[in-house]
Amino acid sequence: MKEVAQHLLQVFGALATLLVVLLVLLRVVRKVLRRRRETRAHELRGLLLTALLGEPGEQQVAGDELRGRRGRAWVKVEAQAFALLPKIKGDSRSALVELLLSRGAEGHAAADARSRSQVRRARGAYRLGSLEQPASAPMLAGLLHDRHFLVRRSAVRALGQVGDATYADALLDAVVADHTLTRDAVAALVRLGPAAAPVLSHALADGLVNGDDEHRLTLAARGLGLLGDVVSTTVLVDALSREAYPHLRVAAAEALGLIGSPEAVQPLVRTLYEEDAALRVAVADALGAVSDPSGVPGLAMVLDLNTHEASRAVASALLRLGEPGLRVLGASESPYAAEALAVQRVRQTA
Amino acid sequence: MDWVGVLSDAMRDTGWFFIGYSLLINTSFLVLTACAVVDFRDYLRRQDFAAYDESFGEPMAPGISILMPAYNESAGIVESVSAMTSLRYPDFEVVVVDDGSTDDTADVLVEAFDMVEVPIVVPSRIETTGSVTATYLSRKGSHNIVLVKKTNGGKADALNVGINAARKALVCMVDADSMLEPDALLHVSRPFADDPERVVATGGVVRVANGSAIQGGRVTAIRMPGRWLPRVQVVEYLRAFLVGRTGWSRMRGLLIISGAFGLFRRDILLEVGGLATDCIGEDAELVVRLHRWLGDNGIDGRVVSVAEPVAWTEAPESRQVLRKQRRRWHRGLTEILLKHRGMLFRRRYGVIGMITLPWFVAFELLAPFLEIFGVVYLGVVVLLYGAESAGWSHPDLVDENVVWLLLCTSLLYAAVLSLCSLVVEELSFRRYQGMRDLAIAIWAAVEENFGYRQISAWWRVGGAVEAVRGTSHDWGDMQRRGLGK
Repeated sequence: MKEVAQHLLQVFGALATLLVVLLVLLRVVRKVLRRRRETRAHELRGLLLTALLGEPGEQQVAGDELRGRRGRAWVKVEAQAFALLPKIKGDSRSALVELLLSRGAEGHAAADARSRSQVRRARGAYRLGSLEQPASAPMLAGLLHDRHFLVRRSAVRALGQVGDATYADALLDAVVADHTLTRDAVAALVRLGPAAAPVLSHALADGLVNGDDEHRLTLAARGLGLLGDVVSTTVLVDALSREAYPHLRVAAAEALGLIGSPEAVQPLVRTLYEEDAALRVAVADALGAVSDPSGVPGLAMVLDLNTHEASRAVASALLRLGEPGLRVLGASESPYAAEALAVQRVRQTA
Repeated sequence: MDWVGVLSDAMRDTGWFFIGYSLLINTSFLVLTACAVVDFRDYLRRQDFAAYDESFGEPMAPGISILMPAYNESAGIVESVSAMTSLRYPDFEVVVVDDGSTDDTADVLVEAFDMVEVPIVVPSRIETTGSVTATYLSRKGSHNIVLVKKTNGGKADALNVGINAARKALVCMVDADSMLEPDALLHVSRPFADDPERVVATGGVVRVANGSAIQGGRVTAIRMPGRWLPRVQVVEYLRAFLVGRTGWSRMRGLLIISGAFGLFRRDILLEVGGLATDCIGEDAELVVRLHRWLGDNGIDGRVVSVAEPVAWTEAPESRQVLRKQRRRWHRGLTEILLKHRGMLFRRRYGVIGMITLPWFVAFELLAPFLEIFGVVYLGVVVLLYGAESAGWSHPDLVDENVVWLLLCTSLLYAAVLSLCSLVVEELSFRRYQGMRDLAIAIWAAVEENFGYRQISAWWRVGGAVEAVRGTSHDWGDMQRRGLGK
């Protein structure tokens, strides 16, 4: 027993000492390493910026020096260049991508994307996205269903950057499999641009017929709205009427508001009487965003018949509908009308 | 068996009981530390590819209403609100609820932010005791500062009025004296955007700002405080808030989000009836009630701790103020555990019911009582040992080995755990960067176990007794020194 106590005392004492030494070592070593890393990064950044933005002669010299680096020296250049890529645009960005491609950065990133390490796979996906080479899209689509979230997220974002709209459908599928990718998928769809709209519209129309997963349909509707696809107004109006899909209806209303097509006004007004409070808020917001005065009578009818959020949204919508809306608000005894008018006065006098 | 034998056995068995308890509590914390390490590792690994900067301009960032309850805070309220308005987030408002201040809190706000009275509708979705007397809107900037004046009803009541008045989908509760880092909202709201259907609340990490340089409501240079109580609390906060809560969050068993910085879905807050006004730890009680509501309704919801967003707070520097705080905290915890004891060992509450709550009862609620009994036990042991050595009592009354084992498992093991928390911090966020800071932190991790822990336990016992007896609580004045002043 005595030996056990003594042994334990020694173990804890040694452990505590070890931890203190470890702390000091970590602090010192990391400080030195960080300083060294910063110095190198500073020097590399300067060289890269000269290669991109310097005088023509300087650009040539700096570019050659960077291209001339081999082994670990080039790995560092690559890391620094990829860190710089999101911060620059236009010709400078193209020049940097060209520099990276000239030294096989795409192949290196693809090798990373095939690695056993999830961190390297994520890094590979991220870098393939940064290079924006359409040829990388199939590989990135393959990573959308990787077993690690970090890799899936990087692949979703990268696909958005690569910009091949044919993969919009793959993004919808990825979100069905993992809802936590919603935010990234929305951002990716927006980055794909208008070319993705027909794919999304088709996915929504087909999905409504086939009774697809609501999450997939909702994402498609949200994407169409953010892309402002006027052509999809009809299918979104159809989605708005589908009672079996409450989330989709909200997303469709928001999308119709963002698109701003007057065709949507009457279907939206008819939905103002639905029981779902979130839907009514979305519909009122949408009517305000469309800013078509034909929505005024419908909004006026429900100004005081709603939940707090919906009443506020209706009053705000009326405010955005110009003179006819202001007349309704002025004549109303609703506290929400008074609030909307007072807030508007504050904004105008500021 | 003679009385010597009985007493000797009793002393030994008691010692073994304390050894077992210390081993269990410290080992459970070691497991939490391991969970936190895994979480930090994942968090830091994904930083390079997570596109945090892109969050700012993304379409799915939900609006946030920051609620700031204020009572007689005219001295610092303008600086606090200014600091909030300069946070980086695409869509947010600051709702200051003046809870019937008797000083000029409202007047200074109206003047500083050029506010005008506007009839903002504040519904009574959550029942409140105080009534709204006026609402104001700022004419400055993006008009995102709202002042709600109400009659006095207490902090929880003020927050409930704030929830009623909030106009955004998410509600952020922040203590008036907390300072958020510029990107704190961006980070703490990410789980809502990542998993909008499941995440119902997130909490940020609270750190101690004493000793750091502060300008304009922002921590500009992070330093360890030199004074005894604050420096020990830095280590305590690191272990309990950063490492402990992250560990629980990793296990999906996070029970408490600090009232100093928490973000909630407003619709869920309305559903559960807002904050309880009959409970001292109203912020913690709210989160427990959220868990209960999720379990009762069979909803797969998540309460998440986010390690990176940081709220800086001023830790008490005097024993009197710290005593009040700790009594209040433990009274709150006792009230919560009594109120929600029906959740214990119920499968429907998942990890919370089966692991977290029993752990809190065994190792948080009862820990100060056992700590005090342990101190008394050691006192008796020392007396007996002294008597034995002097030949005044029977030898063999005290088993020396049991005493050493107890000291190892309770004090040394705890000090090792605190040092482990420092290593975790060093490997992850490393906010305190100087060698002097490290030396102070190491010293604090050791000294915390000798004196501070025992005094703190005594105060916490007082809080638990107050809760059980239901005595009225003296809120008192926190008497903060004021940071950056």
